[in-house]
Amino acid sequence: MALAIAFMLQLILGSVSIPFSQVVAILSGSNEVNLVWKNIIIESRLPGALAALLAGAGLSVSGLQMQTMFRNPVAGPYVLGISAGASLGVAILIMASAAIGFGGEIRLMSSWSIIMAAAAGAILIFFVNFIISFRLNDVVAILIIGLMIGGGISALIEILQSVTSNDALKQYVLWTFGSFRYTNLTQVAYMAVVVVAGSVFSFFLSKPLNLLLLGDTYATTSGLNVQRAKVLIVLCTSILAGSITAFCGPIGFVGLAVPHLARAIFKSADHRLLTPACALLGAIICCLCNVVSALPGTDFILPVNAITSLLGAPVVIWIILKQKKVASS
Amino acid sequence: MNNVIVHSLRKWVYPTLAGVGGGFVITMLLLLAACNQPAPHQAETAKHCVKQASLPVKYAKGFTIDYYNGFKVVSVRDLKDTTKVIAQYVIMPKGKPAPVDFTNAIVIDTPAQRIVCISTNHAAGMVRLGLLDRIGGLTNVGLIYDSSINQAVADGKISNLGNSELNYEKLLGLNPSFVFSSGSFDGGDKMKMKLESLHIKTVLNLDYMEQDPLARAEWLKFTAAFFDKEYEADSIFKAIESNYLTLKEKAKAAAPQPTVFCNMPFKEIWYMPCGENYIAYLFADAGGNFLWKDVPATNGLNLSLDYEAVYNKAANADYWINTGLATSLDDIKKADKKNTLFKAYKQHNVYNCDLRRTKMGGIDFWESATINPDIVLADLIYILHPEILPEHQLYYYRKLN
Repeated sequence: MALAIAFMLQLILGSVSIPFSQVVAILSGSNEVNLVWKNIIIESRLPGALAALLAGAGLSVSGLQMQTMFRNPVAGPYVLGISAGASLGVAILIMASAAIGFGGEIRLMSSWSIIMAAAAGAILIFFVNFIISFRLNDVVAILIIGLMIGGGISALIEILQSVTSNDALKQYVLWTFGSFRYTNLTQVAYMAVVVVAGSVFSFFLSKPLNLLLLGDTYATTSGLNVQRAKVLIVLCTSILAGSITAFCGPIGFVGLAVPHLARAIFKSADHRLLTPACALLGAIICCLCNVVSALPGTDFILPVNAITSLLGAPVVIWIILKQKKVASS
Repeated sequence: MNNVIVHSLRKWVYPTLAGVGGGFVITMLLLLAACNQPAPHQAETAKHCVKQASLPVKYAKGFTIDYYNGFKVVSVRDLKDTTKVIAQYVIMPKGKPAPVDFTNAIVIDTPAQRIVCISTNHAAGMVRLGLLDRIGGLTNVGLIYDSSINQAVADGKISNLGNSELNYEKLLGLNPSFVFSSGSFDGGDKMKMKLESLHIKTVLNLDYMEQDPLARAEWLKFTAAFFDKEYEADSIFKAIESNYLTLKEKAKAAAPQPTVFCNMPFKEIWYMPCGENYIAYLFADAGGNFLWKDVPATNGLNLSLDYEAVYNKAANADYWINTGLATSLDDIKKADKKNTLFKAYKQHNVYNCDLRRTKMGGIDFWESATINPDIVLADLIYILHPEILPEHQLYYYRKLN
């Protein structure tokens, strides 16, 4: 219900004030509507709303998996370096060719080429992670290697930024702000297939995740093939985070914060409950952040990445403080 | 008149005299004569410098050029409050003692032999003034359009001083008289500090801050002052001004005024010039109805608008002008499918200022439009009202296809 309201808010609220009756008429396919408004709703707000919903769900689920697998509360969907890999792909696409001295032209990148570049970068890092998770049994090592990969990639991107032109730099920086509405319905359809598949797959990983929560030894003695479970979790998270980053750019904080919210609200550690809970809460939060970032009623807009963090951080702090108080009293 | 004054008149005041009417000449002569007559009250001000003339500046608010006996003072002023001086330069022949009244001013020896430009439009101004041989170094040389500059770079007469990060060692090796900087616009504040520590003088050339197209072009006079080329600058500017005003007059009565919007969105953010922006003045003078003409500046002269807000206002606009990096209708479509919903796109009334462009992506518009507002205006009039200038050939702009 909350999700439905949050989703609808995205369609109703925006820079341009469109009466609710018109929104309903447009969505019901009526022909008696303002064409400009129809285009705004169908071509701009609807894909953005769907992308926010999918991204929120997918990132939160993968964040939950990472926190459980690494038994680390500050893990998130990006600890494996997926977003860094996607960034590298985009940075190479936008900046390397445009870097003065490489002789390439500065070009305006098409949305599909950016998606492909981000996906290629994410897939590259995914394979690195995949091999590492096969080789190493130690989650801490995987975590550290993920962070190191991220650091190394940031350095490469910095080098690219230092030699590129302002126009290319701006294109890249705006990509890193993340965005739900810079998608069209075709792209959202592709994104939906991957995210829904990844989330369903995650749900079936609930049992091994529950066991991992109790420690590798306990999980092994319970008959779980820990190594195989970890490889599957890495696979699942990489697909979710990689595809979302490819379509929407990096969306910070949601994947980290939502699992904490879900645990606090549902007071459970069972992944059969937490996985759908995270998906639901993440979707609601991203939908709301998308509404806020459009600053309804004004002509201006804020980067959605800033909003997810600005709204997310205080909420998590409040939840944790509230819980600690309950625990101590 | 003694020799000193005759000399100073010839050297400093001549351009001014040539540039204004005879009434001013007489006033000047009287003024000089008065200076020469020791008056009783002069004793107390004797040590101070007395301004003898100022270069007439008609449109630009950001600078003044004042002539004193044996030197001139160029002041860069705050556009919001022109009594506030941001930077001051005393320009005088090498070896003369610096005047005591301008302690905060940077002393520049004239004429400057070798300078460095950070911004390509300053280089274009130099070329226009016939000062190509005084440019010792440039940044981002890969993006230069002007063939004479490119030739000088190829011949090794102009050094490439790097791209985003200035190559300070190379710059030091050039030993330039000064560096033309655009201030904070190009990270110039940090650069200025660094250059100061290296004992290299910077001159703030803030032409881009002026939003009136003629005011921006008038900064040619500012550049010229450092090379004693005021006379040339004045006659070049007069021609620009007269062309511009004639064109503006022609477009004035044009009706109906087609609606115009501009720029490309970066994802869902659309940087749209506000009504006080340079380009908004050009659209207005070209007889266009720029849809954001009444929106004042908020945080800077570009509004960062939401895509849907732009679409809501400009969906049925007649012309889409300045599409940045997009070089074809297909580019615009690929960047975002929503872009094709605009009427201007559907009717192929999309124009970009990249007709004159090098293979490397150097676009002349960004280099020389500052000093050619009359040509930009003629292009825009031709686009919006072709019947007014039927013979005109587009110079900077082209229709995208």
